[in-house]
Amino acid sequence: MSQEKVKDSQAEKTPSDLFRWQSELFKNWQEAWQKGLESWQKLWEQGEAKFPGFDLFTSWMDFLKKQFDQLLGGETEGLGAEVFSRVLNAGAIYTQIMEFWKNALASVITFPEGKLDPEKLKELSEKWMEQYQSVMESLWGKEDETRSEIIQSAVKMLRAQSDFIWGFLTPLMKDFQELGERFPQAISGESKRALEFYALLRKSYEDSLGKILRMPTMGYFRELQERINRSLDSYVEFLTVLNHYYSLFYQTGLRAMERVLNRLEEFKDEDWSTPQGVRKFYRLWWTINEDTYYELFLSEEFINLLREVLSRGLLFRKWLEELYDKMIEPTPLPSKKDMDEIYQAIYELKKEVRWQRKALEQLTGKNQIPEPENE
Amino acid sequence: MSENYEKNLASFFKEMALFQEKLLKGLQNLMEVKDIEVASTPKELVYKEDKVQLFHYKPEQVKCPIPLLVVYALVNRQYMMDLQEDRSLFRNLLGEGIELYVIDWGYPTKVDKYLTMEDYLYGYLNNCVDYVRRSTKNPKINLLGVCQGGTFSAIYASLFPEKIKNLILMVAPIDFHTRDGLLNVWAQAMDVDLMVEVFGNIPGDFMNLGFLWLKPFQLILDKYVGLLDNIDDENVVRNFLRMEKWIFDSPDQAGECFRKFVKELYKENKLVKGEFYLGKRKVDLKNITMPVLNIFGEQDHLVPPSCSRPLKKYVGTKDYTELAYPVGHIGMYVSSKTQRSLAPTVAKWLMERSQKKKRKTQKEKSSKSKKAPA
Repeated sequence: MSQEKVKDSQAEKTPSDLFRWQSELFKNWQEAWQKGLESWQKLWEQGEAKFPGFDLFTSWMDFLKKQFDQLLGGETEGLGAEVFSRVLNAGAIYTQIMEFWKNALASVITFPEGKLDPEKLKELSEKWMEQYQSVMESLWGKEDETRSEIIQSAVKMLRAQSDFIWGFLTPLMKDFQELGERFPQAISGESKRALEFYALLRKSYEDSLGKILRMPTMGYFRELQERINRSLDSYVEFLTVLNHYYSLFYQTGLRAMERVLNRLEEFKDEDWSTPQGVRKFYRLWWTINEDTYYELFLSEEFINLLREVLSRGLLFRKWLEELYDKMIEPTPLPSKKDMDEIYQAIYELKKEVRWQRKALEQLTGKNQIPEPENE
Repeated sequence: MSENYEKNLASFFKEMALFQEKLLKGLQNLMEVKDIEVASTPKELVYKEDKVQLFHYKPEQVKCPIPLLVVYALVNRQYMMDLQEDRSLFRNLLGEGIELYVIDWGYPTKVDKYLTMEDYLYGYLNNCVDYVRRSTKNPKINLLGVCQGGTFSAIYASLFPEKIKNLILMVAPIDFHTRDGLLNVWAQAMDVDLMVEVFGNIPGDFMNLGFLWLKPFQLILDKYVGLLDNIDDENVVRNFLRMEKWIFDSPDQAGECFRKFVKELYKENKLVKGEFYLGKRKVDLKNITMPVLNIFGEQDHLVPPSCSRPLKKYVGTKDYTELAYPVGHIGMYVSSKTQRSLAPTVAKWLMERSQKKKRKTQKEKSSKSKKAPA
């Protein structure tokens, strides 16, 4: 949002609105400092060093993000505002990542004589795995716009169909317990476990809802019903493979985390009391991650999954669009197919005109091009 | 210990105060920017066909008798080569006395989804080449193809060698079957037919997402964290914004052209196999008998050297020169390393080969490879 817009939007506000905004600002500011200072106070009392500066830095960044988010009013218009918003988001991810690693480092430093204990490390890494998931979510995102749009459309359809399908979900429900038990293993970093989990998920679907959706339908609404079923079926297929795809990202994140853990000892004597102090560690963290993900992106497993995700996602969109076309058939609105016909006709006409024009120019000798020299 | 803490606390608050001051100044810098100027070099629109435009850039003094036509990729925009005054290959080439013509492919919309590679090359590119030949009264012109535009230029020069005096390729993919670049690997996973059927035109945002994921931590996170260090420096911010504008300025890709490019080149590697057809004509790189300058970035992660360098094996010219820069794909146009030497080197190479009358006694230059000047 440009400055002008900020001014405009503030001008529209009543005095009490403006006062509320000021109060919010003060409240956030107070909270941020309180949180940060508490950690300093604690240290003062305990005389124990655990990256105090970083707590304050994190809360300060948090405060700034809240304030600027409010100032921008959730709108990002103009290149500057867009970039600032990206910077703030990166800042938020940065602080979340460093918050996680700060705790990890603190735990390592409290080991006897600062040495790494493999057993304790294992215990800790299991605990951290759960927390690390949210860190990765902040980076990779839970939902992007397209995915969200797809999900919203599917949810609408699912609602409309829920009465019809509920009775057939029972076999899937029966597998839920086993799926639930297998889930932690599936995301623990073992590729084989993940594959087993998604195979079971798929089998459950095939045994239950999949059968229904692929069943031939009858009656006046047969075609529409078939399209609805096909869209739902392709959506579930897409979602299944998408989950597997994302689980691969989490597994890789955890693998990268282990690699970072193996290098933690190098940092136990670092000065962590300033934001600059954590920079060196941050660099190690992101470069290890970049390399680990690069390995993933080159792997056959990833490439196969990428192929599956793309194809399933595209098929879902294809069936969904065909369903929309069917639904608007009785209306005067043009379908995708209608528009494609028009686009093709325009394309061919333009091509024809271009060819005619060129032929005419050649006939009339207009726009003569010099002959190549005899070299 | 408490004395230490006091010291730390004081230093911390000082640090925070400075950081806040920096951030506020950065915010002020950014909020004032609605849009940012790029492509500042003066130019004239000389030819237009559908959404394609041809621009003419005139040097103060023409030193090279043959003009240079620049063919950029359909992906992103050609102003990468004219990002700002002090980082502009166009400006530098003009400074060397090279007359430039640059194609702007425009932004395809849904109505353009049926545009084929044949339309782009036999149609738009060929018409632009003919326009430059006609308006400058040169039967042959110099051609510079960048990235995908380099592949197009190599194909075009193979089909119309009689129109091209010298061919320069920059970071251009030729041999697509390499495992050095993720794009080459990922392309194998694409069901491009389904993609074109569903999308029509391939969305620029979709392509961008793919590019960001090639180096996710650097491009989604560290780049912005890095900006925080210099966010109070107006010049740094404005340079950053120019690049940011370019990165996210991604036209959609005309579906049919994209289909052929990915399917027959990225997936099937037909160009170097000698199996590539454009329309009914077979493309034989051996027809490239004019002098060739092949420029690539040693750290290019989009078009790795192993994708560009094989050109040497397939062309028919005896005058082949390679130029390697220690930069990445984008660094080729914006890094200070290339700013200093790229334009003078290109200009020198061109001028040596752009005499209208070829001396009969001149021996054809032998094939050679060289490092970029430091």
